Amino acid sequence: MESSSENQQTPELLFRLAQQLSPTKDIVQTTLHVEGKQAYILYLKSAVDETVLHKTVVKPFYETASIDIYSSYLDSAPNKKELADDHSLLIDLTRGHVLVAVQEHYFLLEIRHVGFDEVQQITLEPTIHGAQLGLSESIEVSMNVIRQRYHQPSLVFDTMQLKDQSNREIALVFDKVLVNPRALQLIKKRLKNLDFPLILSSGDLQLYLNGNKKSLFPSCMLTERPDRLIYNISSGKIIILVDGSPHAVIAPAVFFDFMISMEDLYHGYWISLLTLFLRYSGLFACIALPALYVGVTSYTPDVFRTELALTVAASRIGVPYPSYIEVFFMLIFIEFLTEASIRLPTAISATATTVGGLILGTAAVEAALTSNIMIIVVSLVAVSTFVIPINELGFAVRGLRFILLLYTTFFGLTGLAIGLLGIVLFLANKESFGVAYLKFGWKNRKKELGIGEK
Amino acid sequence: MNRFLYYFIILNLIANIVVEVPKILMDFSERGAVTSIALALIIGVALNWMIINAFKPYPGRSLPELLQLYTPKWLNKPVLLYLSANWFIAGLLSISTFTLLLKRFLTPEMSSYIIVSSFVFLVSYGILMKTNSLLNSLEIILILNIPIVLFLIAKVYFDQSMDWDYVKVALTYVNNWPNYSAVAAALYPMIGIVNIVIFNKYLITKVNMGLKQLLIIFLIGGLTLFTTYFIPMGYIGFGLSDKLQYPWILTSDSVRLKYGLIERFIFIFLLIFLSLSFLNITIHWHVAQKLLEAVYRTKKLIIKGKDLNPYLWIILFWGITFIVAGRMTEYQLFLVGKYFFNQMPLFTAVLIASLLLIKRGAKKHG
Repeated sequence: MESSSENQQTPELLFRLAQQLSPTKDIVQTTLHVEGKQAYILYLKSAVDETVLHKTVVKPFYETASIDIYSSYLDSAPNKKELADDHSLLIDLTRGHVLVAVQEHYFLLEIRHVGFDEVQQITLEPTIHGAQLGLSESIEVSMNVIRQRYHQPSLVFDTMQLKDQSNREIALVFDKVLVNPRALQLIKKRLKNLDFPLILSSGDLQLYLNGNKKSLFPSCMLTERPDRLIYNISSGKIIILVDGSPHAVIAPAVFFDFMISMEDLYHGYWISLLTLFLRYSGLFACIALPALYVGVTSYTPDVFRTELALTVAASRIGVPYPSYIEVFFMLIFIEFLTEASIRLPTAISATATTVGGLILGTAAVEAALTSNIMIIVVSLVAVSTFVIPINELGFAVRGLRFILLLYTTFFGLTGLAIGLLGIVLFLANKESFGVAYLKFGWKNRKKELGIGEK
Repeated sequence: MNRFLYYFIILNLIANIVVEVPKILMDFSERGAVTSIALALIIGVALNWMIINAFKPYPGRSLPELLQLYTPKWLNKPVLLYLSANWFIAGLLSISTFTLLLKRFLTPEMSSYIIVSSFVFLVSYGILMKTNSLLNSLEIILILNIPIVLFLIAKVYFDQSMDWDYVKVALTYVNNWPNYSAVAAALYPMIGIVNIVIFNKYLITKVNMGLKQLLIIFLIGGLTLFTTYFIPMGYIGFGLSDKLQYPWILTSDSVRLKYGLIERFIFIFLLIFLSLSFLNITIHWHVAQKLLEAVYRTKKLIIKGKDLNPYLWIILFWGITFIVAGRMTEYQLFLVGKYFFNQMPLFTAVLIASLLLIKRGAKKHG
């Protein structure tokens, strides 16, 4: 022991790690020594909270009477981590761990500094009555947000590390009493088998977890609302938090989840029933209206009452092509407009919508390139798409209505009716982590309908 | 009783209101249609009772599995083949009927083949679906449609042009003996429960039928059969109906929604019943395909871990449907439908017999 304390050489492990980390300039490797006591510290300046480091590691070194007391002080620190192999040590250092060598002992202390640990304003799903602050980019703060809103001893945080290049920490959050065990097993398995070089945030993580990257409908849900998280935890779902991403993934998610706004829970019975009705009719309108227009104008104009049929026909006088081209043209136009106003800064997007929506729309009608009623249909479709509370479903529906339009273009009103049923079949056949995507829920359902065992 | 069993029964009842069955019944209106309906109702309820209770001891088992377990092999393959042919033809007839119907009333300029293909694509998707998911979609579509169906039926019942005197005239023929064809035609809507042969695999509990359920089915069945046969009488008149091909469609065209966005009742009526028939066809063919899979299945078609066997049957279904449904005329369809209904008792007999055999085999196995 005498010889090692007198040895001025940096311990070999520290030296080796520092070598591997170089030539980055934010590496700090110092020796603390006073009156024969010696300690070596290695950390990355950019990842570590230096004030805390000073308070908890450097200062006690000079205050403790002997090196043994200091050593046992470090040994009993609550943020101490077990040492593993070199590789994971390096990753730990990049995450804000500090490696301290005292005598021949090494201590790995977590003293992370996260610059972005503030709880963020909710921007994606604003409500009037619900929580106004969402999650944070720091996983600890997000976990804190959840824990402080759901005081149950059964709430579990299961943290693990992603195996991609970013080596980020993720946490599975669930209530171990209520959780759906099959879904939990599936998610853990998929996380284990995840094989993607780089995962950027919870947004792409949920896509990779999906199993099927090409599916139109989302099978996980992204949210930043703590109340939605709590609501879902209490109904047995699993939340995945990703460090550095202010959105949490909720899985499994089914169709009806995407049609609920948290606001519904804060309103009275009739009011939320009414908004729910509005939302579903909006969904129906934005899927079926373009197809209905084609079916009615091109195939069976006599479906509507005579006056209405005449109005529709009259507004199409002078339009030089069949109705399906008109609808495709206008729908794509409105998609351009939506897409442009999403990507642009707010200041410019107002101009885009005015020029695109008002001026072009009027001009198109005056030039007899499209009918008045088509403009009404298209605007109605665009507006009712935004009635859907969750964006991802909105995107899926935008794609879906083109498919239905195609089917109606080929088969007329029959195509519309059968196509709508086809959508129901398709959604019912989809699964999200072992849970049927679209089904009615009622009591005892599980008892009556199950999976046949061989 | 498991609610999915109700769905099967109700779906088949509703889907058969529109075509074929009322036409055949009306042809026999002076030759014992009324008593035939009554007899078919009783037989139908009894069949429901027998079939449900036969499946009661085997929760989570489908008919092919049970046949495999408890009956000799030389027997079960022909039986399954016969049953699946029945299911397939039931779907095929519905497709043909609706093809002609749509051509007649909704899209007269469209080729029959295109109308057939509008069905066939999505029905094939339904065949490939997981059985479990099909049950879920059955529930959703049925529950969304039933309120509209009830509205439509109520509208027909209470419309001013409904003349109940003709119904009374039709009822006076109650003193005729039942006719075989009429009984068979009226029985067909009642036996939607037969779909249980495949779907029982996913129904775990409550596959049983008590007195209360029996009464419910009796009531629903009675009301539906009454509606099917008597209501068109009130619009078309007694004695004329045998000159019409689609009594119910004409009935629906007699009703006008004075203040509706869609003024002609027939369009809503057609599209709603089209949806339900589509669902019924999907279920029929799903069952047909599952039964056929139990008859013949080759390992050669499992390519890259993907089982392509269902596609084989789908191609077969497509071929037959395009040839048959694309060409059939109304008269041929009517005849074929009648023959199909006439052999329905044989179908039920085979089904019941195989269930009895299973029961015996199960006893032997202990």
